[in-house]
Amino acid sequence: MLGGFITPMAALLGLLVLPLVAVYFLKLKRPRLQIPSLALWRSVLQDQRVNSPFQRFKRNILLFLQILLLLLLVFAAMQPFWRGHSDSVSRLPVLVDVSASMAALSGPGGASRLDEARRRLLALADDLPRGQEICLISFGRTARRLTDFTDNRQILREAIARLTVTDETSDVEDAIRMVQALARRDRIDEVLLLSDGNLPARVNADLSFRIRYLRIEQGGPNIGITALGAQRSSDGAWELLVEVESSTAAESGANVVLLRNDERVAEDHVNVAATHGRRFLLRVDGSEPATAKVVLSPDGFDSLASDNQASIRLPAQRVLSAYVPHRLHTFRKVLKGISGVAVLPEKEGDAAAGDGYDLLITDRETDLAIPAVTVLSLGFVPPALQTLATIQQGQTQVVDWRRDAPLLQHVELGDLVILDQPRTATGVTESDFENAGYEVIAQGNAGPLILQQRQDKALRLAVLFNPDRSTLPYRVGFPILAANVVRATLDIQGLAEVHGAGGLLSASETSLASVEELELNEKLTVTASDKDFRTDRALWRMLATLALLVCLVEWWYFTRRNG
Amino acid sequence: MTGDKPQLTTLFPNGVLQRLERLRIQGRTRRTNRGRGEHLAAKGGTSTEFCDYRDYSPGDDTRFVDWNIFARLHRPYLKQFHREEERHIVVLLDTSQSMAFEGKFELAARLAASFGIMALYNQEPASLFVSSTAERLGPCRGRASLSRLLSFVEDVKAEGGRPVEDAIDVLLRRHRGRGIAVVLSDFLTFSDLTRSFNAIHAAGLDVFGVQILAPSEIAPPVSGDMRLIDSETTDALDVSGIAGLLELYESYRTSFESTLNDACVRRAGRFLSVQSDSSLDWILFDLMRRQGWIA
Repeated sequence: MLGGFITPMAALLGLLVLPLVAVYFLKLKRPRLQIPSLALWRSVLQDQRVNSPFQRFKRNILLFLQILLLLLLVFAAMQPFWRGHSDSVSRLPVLVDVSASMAALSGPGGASRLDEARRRLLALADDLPRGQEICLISFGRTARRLTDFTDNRQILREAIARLTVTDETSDVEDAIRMVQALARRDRIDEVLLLSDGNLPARVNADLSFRIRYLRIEQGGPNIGITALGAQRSSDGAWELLVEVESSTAAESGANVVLLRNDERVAEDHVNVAATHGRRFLLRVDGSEPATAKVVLSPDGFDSLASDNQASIRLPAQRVLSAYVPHRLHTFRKVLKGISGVAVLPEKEGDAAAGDGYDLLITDRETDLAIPAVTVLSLGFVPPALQTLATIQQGQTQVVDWRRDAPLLQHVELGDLVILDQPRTATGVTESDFENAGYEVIAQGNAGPLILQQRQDKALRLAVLFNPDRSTLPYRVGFPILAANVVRATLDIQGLAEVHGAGGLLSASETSLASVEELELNEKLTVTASDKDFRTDRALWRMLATLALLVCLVEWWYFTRRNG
Repeated sequence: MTGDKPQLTTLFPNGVLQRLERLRIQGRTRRTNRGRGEHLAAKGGTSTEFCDYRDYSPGDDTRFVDWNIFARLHRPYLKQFHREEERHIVVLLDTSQSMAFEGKFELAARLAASFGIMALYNQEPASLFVSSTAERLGPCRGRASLSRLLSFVEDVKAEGGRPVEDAIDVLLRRHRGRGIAVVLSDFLTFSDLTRSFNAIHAAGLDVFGVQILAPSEIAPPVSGDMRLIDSETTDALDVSGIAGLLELYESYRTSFESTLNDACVRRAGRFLSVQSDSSLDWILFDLMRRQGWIA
């Protein structure tokens, strides 16, 4: 069906044509004029009626104009509409991408992708037919609902005006989940997705509604910083690893400036193409804490500005404090061989410092009260796991371990002889340890051997067997394990390696790459459309405008005739 | 101050009267009565104007034998002379309601009086008919009848009533004599006037038609939607967009005029259409003289 009428009963207003015609002829006042004779005039009118049928129409042209005006108004009152893309969608959630790539400009001085999205949304809101409501949801990494389902154009316009770009990557899954939650309450048949297409191609969701994916044209060429990290070098300086990428296949150049505490430290020029990014190192003094900022100045037009800067906070170099009781002399010996680590207490019997340590290695549960960023417990089950495992007498072997775990990188545990036997309690599975917050990174034949718990700025490592009651200290892997613990601690404290915190730093957003299709599940793929999405288009405004024009024509004809 | 001569009539000044005395109505054919008049008849008569010769027949009056020809040819031939006969001038004055607009009747009355005066001064019997009342003056002859004629015309009023075609019928029932019938009217009637003109012609009268129209009938001052009321019948006619019809009206009017002209000319007559605001002097002494109505 091409269209219809929202209020067809308004057609009854067409009956007004009857009184209109009656009033027209009744109201017609003709001036009277007495003339000598009608003899000639009768002949004239007779001739006119016979030879010029149009004259009859011309005499009553005002009446016809008024009837036309009435018909146009009646039609407008019936609220006809032209069927849009949607099939009688009464509630339409609209998902708007506000990720970083939506700030990309089309050209120098051009509009951003979000500006284009706003324009389309405003057109959609203005053309909203009666009975249809829109719910506006913006999404970057997370989704945010801006309005409830509403047909109030003022509310929608204000919400559209408030849309702003966030320096985040886009992930539409959160927005889809939000719509799924809405669908439990209201019937939703279709969802409109407005994006530049810089989205993950695969969306993990099963949907109860259709998605109409309206793609906004990509922005212009872009070059930006996609990665920034720092690593402590052996001489104590920081080595900044910078990665710059481009969105276009053609090579484009940019100037890279390194600032340390807002002072220009280094400068370089790079040429980048989409096929190959560019990585380079910059050195920064690490003796004092500093903020390093990398600023990119593209040679030509750059559509996205938010990826042209990145900053990283570089802490001052310092010695790592490690509390290792003297009784753990194997660990003390190995740690003293690692530069930058202060093994404490210096003298046996010295109390632990109240303000804590970077690293605590202990074989006693009571030492767990000492504050530390990284805790390596040896030979006992931590209090949180005591209901899940016990340590018994007996020999055990390492069955498997996670080679990518920070503690166990480059550590060979095969054929390790362990004289303690950590044993999982009856009925306990690995998921119970996970529920307790611990991850098993080495498994023995009776139970877990090594577990780790990652917290935000802390690491807990539990070796359930005593290394001194194993062959581990005799292996090459033992000092490596100790160095891994130190490294992990340095990472947490940001003393050895830092990853950039400020800036977009997203290869996907910088690339401005656009997906043509969204794969929702194995059976459903949504293809992008470049055409404007139209809801049912109300025609009453056009009819009302036509009625006004007819009114003006009628006024002109009437005054011209009497003039 | 010796004083001007008093006006003989209220219809026109004495100067017009003086000029009319010297004029006579020119017919297009010689249709006359048997009575002796000042017009030469087509048949032979006893006037002094020689016409032709014919053979002598026993019994003819020997006074008319041309003895000079007899002396030459030894045969008698009789002289023939033009016969002098009377030509009646009948004036029909339309006094219907349609004539009571913008001086139409007044001009018609003046013209009626003018034709009557020319007839009287040329020793021709003159009759005047009033259409609405069927009143009749005459036939009267000679200058002695001048005051009667002028009084009669002065007393006539446009009172409406009988249309001109009916008035013609009444006239023909009452009139005897050949000559010229001068019809002074606007001829705005719903009937076909051809029948009436035929009747006039059949009665031995040449039709001299003078159509008098008001300026508002020549160029109607109308516009928009109007209701036109007929002054005679009081019928109404609603017209819309009347301004767009004026061209058609003009076309009809001129066509009607042409029809009337043809009807008169074919019946050995004449036709003239004048506007009621035209001056009598111009009509009589310029227009009609140029067109050969009077000489």
